[in-house]
Amino acid sequence: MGKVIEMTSSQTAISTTLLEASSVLAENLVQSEPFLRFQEADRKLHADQEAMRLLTEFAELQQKIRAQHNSGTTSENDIKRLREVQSAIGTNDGIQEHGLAQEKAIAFLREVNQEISQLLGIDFASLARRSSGCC
Amino acid sequence: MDDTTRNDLEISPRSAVMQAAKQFAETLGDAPQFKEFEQSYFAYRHDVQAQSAIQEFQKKQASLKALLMLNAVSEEDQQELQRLQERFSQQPSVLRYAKAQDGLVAISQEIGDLLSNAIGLDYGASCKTGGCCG
Repeated sequence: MGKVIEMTSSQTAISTTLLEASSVLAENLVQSEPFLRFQEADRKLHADQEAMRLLTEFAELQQKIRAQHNSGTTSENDIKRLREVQSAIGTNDGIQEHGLAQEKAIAFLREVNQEISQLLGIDFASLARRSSGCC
Repeated sequence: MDDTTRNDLEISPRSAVMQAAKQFAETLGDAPQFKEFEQSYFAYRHDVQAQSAIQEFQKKQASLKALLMLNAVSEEDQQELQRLQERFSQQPSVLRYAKAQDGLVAISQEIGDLLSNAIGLDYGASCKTGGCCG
């Protein structure tokens, strides 16, 4: 195994054994094929100026349109531009590859979580999840 | 970012990842917080007084279901429902179980954060299925 992932417990009483087991799991996940591919796609995406420009513009437009919507002053031009950017994102190889790599990494992570949860008899991800405030 | 810290040749096979997951689950299952969670749940489920308290609360709640949905419960019934809920939540076995659950959630969230930081994805959120509240 390559780089050792150091884990330390800052807030709660997690035993060294449990931290070690968590660290070994993290190392294995990081070095697994789906995650190596995801890291690679992430690195490529961040180095791709056109892709990053599209993503930034998309996020800015979304925010702008949401604010306009709230104040009842929607701009046709902004909506038209948002559709154009969205379409460009849909055909940008770097962004699409990143999305696919992320999907595969998530699918693998879910399998790993299932393995853990089956042994524990409780869904570990539900325990580990910080409330998102969406409900 | 220094590329020499990465080693793409060292791929961890699926079997190794699953073995690490198994080892992790066993270690977490042996943790005092997990043991206390299991034991307190068992004690709560076998606590006659706590079970009767929750049944009484649930029975009252069910009898008021339609009115609760319409937000038309009388003050008297509202107070009775609250009293039954408090009686249930103040049972020693319920308090113990709630505390144990908090303890287990606290360490799980901390481990989840450590895993998320390492893998570059939010562990808890990524493993969520069935929509927003799933």
